[in-house]
Amino acid sequence: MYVRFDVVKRLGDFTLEASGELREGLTCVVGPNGSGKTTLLKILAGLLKPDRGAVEYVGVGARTYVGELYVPPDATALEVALAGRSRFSSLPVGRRDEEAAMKYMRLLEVEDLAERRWRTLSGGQRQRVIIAAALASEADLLLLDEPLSNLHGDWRSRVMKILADYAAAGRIVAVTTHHGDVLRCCDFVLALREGRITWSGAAGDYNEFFESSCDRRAKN
Amino acid sequence: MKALLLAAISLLFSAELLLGPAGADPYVIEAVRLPRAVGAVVGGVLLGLSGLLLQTALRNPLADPYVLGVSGVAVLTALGSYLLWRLVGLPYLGFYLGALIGASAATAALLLLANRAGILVVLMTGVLLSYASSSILQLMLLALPPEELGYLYVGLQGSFAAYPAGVPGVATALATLAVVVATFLNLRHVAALMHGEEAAAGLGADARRAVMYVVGAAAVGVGITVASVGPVGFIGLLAPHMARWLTGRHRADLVFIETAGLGAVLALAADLAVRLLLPRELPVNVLLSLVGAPAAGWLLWRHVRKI
Amino acid sequence: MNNKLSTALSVVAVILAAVAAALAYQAYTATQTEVKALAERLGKVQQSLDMLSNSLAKLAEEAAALRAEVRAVNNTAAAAYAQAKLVSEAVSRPAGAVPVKYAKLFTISYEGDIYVLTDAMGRRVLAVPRGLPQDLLTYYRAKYRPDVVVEYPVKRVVVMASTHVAMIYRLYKEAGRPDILRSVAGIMWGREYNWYMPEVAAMLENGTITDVGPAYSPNYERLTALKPDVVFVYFYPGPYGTETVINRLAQLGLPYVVVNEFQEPSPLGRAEWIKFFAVFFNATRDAVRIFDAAEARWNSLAALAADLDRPRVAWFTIFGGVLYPAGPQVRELIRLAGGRYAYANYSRVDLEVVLKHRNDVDVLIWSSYGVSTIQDIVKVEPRLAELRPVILGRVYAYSPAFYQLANAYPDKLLEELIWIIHPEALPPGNFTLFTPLR
Repeated sequence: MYVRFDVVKRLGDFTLEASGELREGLTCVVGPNGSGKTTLLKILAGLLKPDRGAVEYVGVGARTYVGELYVPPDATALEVALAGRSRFSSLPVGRRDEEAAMKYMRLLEVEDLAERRWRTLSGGQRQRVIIAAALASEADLLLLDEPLSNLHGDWRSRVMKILADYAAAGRIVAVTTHHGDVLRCCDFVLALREGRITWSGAAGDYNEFFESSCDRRAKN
Repeated sequence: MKALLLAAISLLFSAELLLGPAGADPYVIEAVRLPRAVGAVVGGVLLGLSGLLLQTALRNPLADPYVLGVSGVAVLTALGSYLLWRLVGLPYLGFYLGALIGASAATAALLLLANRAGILVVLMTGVLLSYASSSILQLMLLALPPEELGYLYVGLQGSFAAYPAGVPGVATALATLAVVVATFLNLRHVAALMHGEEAAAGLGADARRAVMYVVGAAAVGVGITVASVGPVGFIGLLAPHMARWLTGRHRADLVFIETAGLGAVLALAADLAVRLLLPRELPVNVLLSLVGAPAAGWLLWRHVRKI
Repeated sequence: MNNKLSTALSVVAVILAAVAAALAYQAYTATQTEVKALAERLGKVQQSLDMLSNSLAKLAEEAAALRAEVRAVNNTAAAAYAQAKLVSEAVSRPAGAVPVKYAKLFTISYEGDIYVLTDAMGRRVLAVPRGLPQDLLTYYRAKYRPDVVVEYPVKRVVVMASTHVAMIYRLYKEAGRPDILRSVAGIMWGREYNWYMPEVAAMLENGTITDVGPAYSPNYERLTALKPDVVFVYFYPGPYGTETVINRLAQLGLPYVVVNEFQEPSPLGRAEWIKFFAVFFNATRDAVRIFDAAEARWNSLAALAADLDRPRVAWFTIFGGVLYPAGPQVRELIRLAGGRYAYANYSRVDLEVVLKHRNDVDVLIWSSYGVSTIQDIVKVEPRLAELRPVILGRVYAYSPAFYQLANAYPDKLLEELIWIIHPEALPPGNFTLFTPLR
């Protein structure tokens, strides 16, 4: 399973020109603000159409993109997690969806917050619920835009580990971040600057002067 | 909760059929009360459902079904048919058929728009349709002597008693059922719209289909309601909120049945109150406004407080 | 004797015996044959007898069939005869139409004592006298295919509009038929109004006339309990209009006719509907007479006012800050009453026009009721105090009875207008439709 892309997209006076490949595993997409990370991810998700070029999906079934998510203040955390189950059917969510959502919420240790209203949750709790929603989609291609925002140190690395485990089950996961300290948790790194890919390859080869706070997953 | 609602609806429906000055006379029940009871259920269900769909898709808790402008156009065509009969002698189509024509045209136009643009464009068009049809209505009424205007304004208010009997009534009820079932079959994608169209698409919902469905179902729901019982207010606004409050849930696919049920309960209760508690028959809108306006005010206050 | 003799004798005896036997045998066979032949002949006779009896039976059947045919033919002939008699009777009835000169929304035609009316919605109404033979009724039903059949004179009616009550009242009063008034069993809005027909008010008060609730949502149970022969309704569209009520009445099987006299363009046209009502009370001749008298009075009043100088008449009302001027019908009325509409040159009349011509107006007619003094009008719009009629005190308003009675009494309308505009030509009497304001 892989995703090959070669795309050009202009948004205003910013142009993204990128080509490359995403493989099974966890890919970190890094770069400063405005470098085109979100644009690239949305194109890969199919939410934006490139002006030129195309994306090729080989062996990829479902795709999920989760970035900025508006949530009505009175929705419960469980209901937000259930949003991740949208692709499975068009009938109302049922027991199986709730169980799946709870499973992923447990993974992110937010299952106690299931019946809590969104407006009563902290930024970090909300972020973890959103990640649970993304995971609940059980998509083959999972694209997360700044999933680590609002999370502090400990949870940053824990979430990365969870995502890496998710990817290790034979899926492609790409996350954008402008934090450098989690790169060691990834398998691959894609670096963007001003709309162009400046580096792509295995994470281990990527030289970065931040100390990684993450344990490398033991490859067997 | 669902069981409670079912019990409430059964109770109110029976009360609507059996209570009244003539007692339990089966002839009167069939001819006068049954259409009224069915009209209340049909109107309540469709309005609650439309309100829920629109509040979800527009991400606005104060959206109500009339925001799409379908009812304005429907009343316009119905009144147009009357004026054509009155002034030119063309055959009068009847309020039901006249309203249905306008509702169908407005629904088709809104769907075409939803296909090409997002839901906000549809919303703006709906608001414009409301204003335009209201203005054209006033202009048309200039053709009539002023003494008759009072009668007309009252006449165009909603009333569950106007629900047609016989074949049109059965057809309307079946159409309502079809709308409910169709909504059920699309509900998860619609529920995802509460996060926004793009986010819903990202999460795997078919956002475009969901938006089209919301516009289509809400327009059809309002069209059927206005044609059969006229414009009845507030239920579309209040039923979703009451359902959310009672179930503690927010997602459209988790409050749908309760919304439809509460819509029916509100309508039946309002009609019973008008029939039995008031000394004289008033348009049901009056009662719903008396209850609805403070309720809407309270909703607004809660909404504002949170911001 | 000798043996020879005896032997000879014996032989002879034997021969004789043999001959006898042969003869006997012969006779026997001959008889057999005879008998057989006889039997055959008997058989044949039997056959013939059987055939004969079959034929007789068949003949009897045919005779019976013929008899039945004859009977059938007789029946058909009788039916044809009855039909022919019917048709000839029907054809021989005087047929025609009741003359309707001003009203455009109804027609009345008749065949003998059968009336065929079209009401304001174009529905065909068949009015038949009580006790009409069934076959005639069937015939007329088939011929006209009416939307509703009503037997006249009606014994119990329900009336939706006060203007209709007024027409029935005029019919009762001027035809001298108290049974007409007694047949009003129910009125919608009965107890809500003040009634300016004293008998009606009294009957409502003591319950002789039942109030069946508001026109847009009557009490159907009370209505049905009255068992009306016909319900007089008017038509307004919409879920809360009378359209819904009419649908319900149809569903309940209550016969109704639609009277939209307010849609007639002229006052005489509206009043002419009295003829329509009259058919149901078997008072058609009276109604024609009453209307003709009213028309004659109208014409003579108009003639009276035609050549007089024309004072300038202002006619409007102000409600909710908006001025409602006189429509074209009212302007025609003013002209007939010998006045001149003060704002005839203006396509659009609003307060500034009125104030601009405050000194150019002689009489003011305030076209709504609820005011009893000139002060009331000035309260609505203070600047009206500058109007010449207000200063001179020549201000009139509709009386509360105006809307109830004006349609039924157009001659009174014109008369009172002439009292207002030309008091010198026709000294004012008791105002019913208008109120002079102090």
